[in-house]
Amino acid sequence: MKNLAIKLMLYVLLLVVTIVYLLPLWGALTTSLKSEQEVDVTSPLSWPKHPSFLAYSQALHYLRRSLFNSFFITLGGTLGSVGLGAICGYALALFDFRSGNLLFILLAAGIFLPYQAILIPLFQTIRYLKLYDTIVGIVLAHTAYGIPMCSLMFKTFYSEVPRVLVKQALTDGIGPWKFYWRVVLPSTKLATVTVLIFQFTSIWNELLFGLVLGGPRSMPATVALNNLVGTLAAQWNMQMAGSIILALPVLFIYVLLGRYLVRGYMAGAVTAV
Amino acid sequence: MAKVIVNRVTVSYNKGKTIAVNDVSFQVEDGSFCVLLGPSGCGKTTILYTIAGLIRPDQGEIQIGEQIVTSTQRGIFVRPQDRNIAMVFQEYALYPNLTVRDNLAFPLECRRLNRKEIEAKVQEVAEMLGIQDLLDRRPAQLSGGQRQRVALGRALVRNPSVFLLDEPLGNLDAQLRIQVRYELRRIQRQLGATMIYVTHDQVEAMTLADQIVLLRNGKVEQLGSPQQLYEEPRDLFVATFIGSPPMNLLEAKVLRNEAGVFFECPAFRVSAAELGISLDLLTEETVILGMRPSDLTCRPSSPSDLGFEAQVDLVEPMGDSSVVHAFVESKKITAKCESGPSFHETRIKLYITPKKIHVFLPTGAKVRLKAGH
Repeated sequence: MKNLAIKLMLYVLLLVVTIVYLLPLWGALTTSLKSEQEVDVTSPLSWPKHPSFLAYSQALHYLRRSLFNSFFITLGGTLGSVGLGAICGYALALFDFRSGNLLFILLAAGIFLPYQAILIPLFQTIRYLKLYDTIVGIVLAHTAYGIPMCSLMFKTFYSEVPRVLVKQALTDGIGPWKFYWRVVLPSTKLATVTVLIFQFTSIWNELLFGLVLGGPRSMPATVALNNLVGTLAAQWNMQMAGSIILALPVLFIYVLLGRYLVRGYMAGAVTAV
Repeated sequence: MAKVIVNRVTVSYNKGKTIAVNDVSFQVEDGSFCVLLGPSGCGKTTILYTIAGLIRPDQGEIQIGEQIVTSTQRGIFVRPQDRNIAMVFQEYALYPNLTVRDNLAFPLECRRLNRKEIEAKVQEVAEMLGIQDLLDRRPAQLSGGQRQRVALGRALVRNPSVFLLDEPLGNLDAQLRIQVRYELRRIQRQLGATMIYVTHDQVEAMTLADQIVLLRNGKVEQLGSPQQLYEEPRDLFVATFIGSPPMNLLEAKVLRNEAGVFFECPAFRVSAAELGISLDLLTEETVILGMRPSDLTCRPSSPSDLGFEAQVDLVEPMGDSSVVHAFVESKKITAKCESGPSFHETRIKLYITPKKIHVFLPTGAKVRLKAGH
């Protein structure tokens, strides 16, 4: 009986915490389905009397261009940082080379470098390269900033590949690249999926680089959404609709690939192969 | 196939603090089977890796066939993937995501062979090793012995200049080890392949090798055919490392009188003349007498044989022969006698031909001046 009571209390507690956690999302959902007038006169948590998707079409119309920007920025930034990070991680994990340790320390330092500290030099560099307000500029920033984290994640995964396999490949006359494509990459799909999701989420949700390096032509959806707050009279329903639209791809990916992600995060304990 | 020359190679770790291989030289003839033998930590694997190009030596030169692949002096270093070597590791190191067929074919694909040639080669080697039925399996679905065969097969498909094998039988059980050992030797003969083989197992070395390079602490201790190492060990280390059960060692006093020089140990007293040893060089007070267990017999083979009594401790019958563990005073002696005499008695008489006794100085060096040598 005592055990049951404790269990019950625990579940009630968890339920309460979950509700508190989900309330804003619920509020965003209900608000996004209300008309502008209804938003002003009802509680944010009440279910709309006449649910409508009008706010969604307004938000889509407003965010259309920036959503495309976000898509290309995320695609480029993810592929760039994951691709280069994978190669770095491969080299760091499986090959001995001079100053490898130094490189590792520098990369680790790159992770702890706060955004804000590099913002001004980054802005100046991008402007100097004539890449201000271009998608390429933002992709470049994301790629560079993502490489340390991706490298270290891949290094951890690839360290599980037995080193003797590398020696075997070399003596078999198989070069490091071929070995990577045919053996390492196919044996560590979990690792690749994990890092891809991680990078996709970070870049899709990112605001600061987009805000500083992007302009009217290249701003990602996060920035555009943020601009709604100041420019228009608070259209809460449209803002909430925009937020939900923006959150959808990430939610979708988590639902679709979440199980890989969990397994990937745990893979340090077991083998990545 | 090709010969391999290792010339004055030195390898160190930890920025020169630990010397793993110290000025090692040897030559492996084309088509011969060379075993690098030694206790763990003697540098044998390091030498193999240096030949493979997986390690760059601090000093020295390595030549495979007519090509110098490593030379510190001339600044030559050929990458491992360009050396045309085939390596087999103790861990098998099969590519885990590829089927057996692809494991065998992968190295060939990298050498731009066409698909028909590859398929024919894979088939040929699979038949040679009896793994035709396993071609579509993945490494995880194979037993240890099967994996070992695949690893061997992957080396064989390539027609390399030289095979490098790093304790390839180390993970197999005893019975399988003997079988694969035999097959390996047969295939090597059949192909006329040059093989360099690393092991710490002296039985493996004796049965496989044309030539043994016995290493200790990074240096070549002795180099020669298995028979040479067995019959003419250069020092105490070689004498006790080679041979199973190991050589018996008895400390003996050196006595000098008018009749000549004698060695006196608990078992017997024997004159230096009988052992064929020149006396002038011997200034020591004691020597160590070494006797192979297989040289000790239960019946004298000639009247001049030395005989001595021993207290039987334990007899291990092996069918055709028996290993007798006995004591001469407090010294333990092992003899390998042919079966026949029953060992119910607690005392036994053992015989040895004097010329078969090895004499070592207390420093471990062998007294080499045997008659006729």
